[in-house]
Amino acid sequence: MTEQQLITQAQQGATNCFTQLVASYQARLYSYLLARCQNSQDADDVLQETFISAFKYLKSYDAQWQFSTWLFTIARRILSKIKTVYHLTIDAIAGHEHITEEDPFALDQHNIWHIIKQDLQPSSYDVMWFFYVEQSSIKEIAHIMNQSESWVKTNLHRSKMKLSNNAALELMLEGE
Amino acid sequence: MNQELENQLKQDAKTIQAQAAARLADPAFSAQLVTLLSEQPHSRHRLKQRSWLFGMAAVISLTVLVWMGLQTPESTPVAPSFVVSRTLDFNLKQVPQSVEAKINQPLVQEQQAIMADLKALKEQLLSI
Repeated sequence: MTEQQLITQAQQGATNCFTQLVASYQARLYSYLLARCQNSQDADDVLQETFISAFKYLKSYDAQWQFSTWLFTIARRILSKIKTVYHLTIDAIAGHEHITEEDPFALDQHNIWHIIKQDLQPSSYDVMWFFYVEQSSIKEIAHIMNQSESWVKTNLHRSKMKLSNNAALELMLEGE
Repeated sequence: MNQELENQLKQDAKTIQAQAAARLADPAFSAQLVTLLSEQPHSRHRLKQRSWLFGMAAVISLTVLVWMGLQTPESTPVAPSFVVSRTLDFNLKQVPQSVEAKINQPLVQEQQAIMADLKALKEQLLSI
């Protein structure tokens, strides 16, 4: 069964077809969420919420966009809500920077995606991920980010310039 | 720098993808998601399935309302001046005549009384 057939069946209520779609996309989505989230627990929550929302609103999926584009759009929206709640809750309880317990699935501190997180805004980080890792087109990225294509191009260029000026990053790359 | 940066981004992304795969390989993790999905009502689909029920209910309600409206209530004596018919089943030709008759009845009676008085006066005048 093709992906479009799976989607059509799932839209008519075939849960097993949607499960197959989940299996196809969960790895890509979870990779992005592990990179993006503070910890793997947040990534788990957003992953589940994303697929639950996708299942609930599957009939609103527009086939002119890739299914992955639609999933990432949902994930970003949920991520923004969870991050807001996370920061408010933790800051209110702890009163200082929260020290997380050891998270086996958290990003390695030497991973470049962990390093650039300090330099880039979340939206710029996302653009970098979708462009370099997902290899999405500018058009698809613009749709995910709900921005214009020119915004995406400008954002991408500025992010690369900013990272080029990061001395620590430059050293790390030269050391490779 | 840009090419090195790009290469490093892609390489380290693979590390993250491997981490993700390891996490997803946990059967308990995947099963949890499947369970959550199976618990979700596919609300829009079920709404569509039940839409015929709503249509049926609307038709039945309308039928009952129309039937109730067609029931002619027991006729009660009405004032000759104001007659309002609640029933839909009436003879259009008869309504104006019956209303007119009922409105004119007292006037006719009064007119007849006046004519009788005038006749009596005439007789009295003629007898003088």
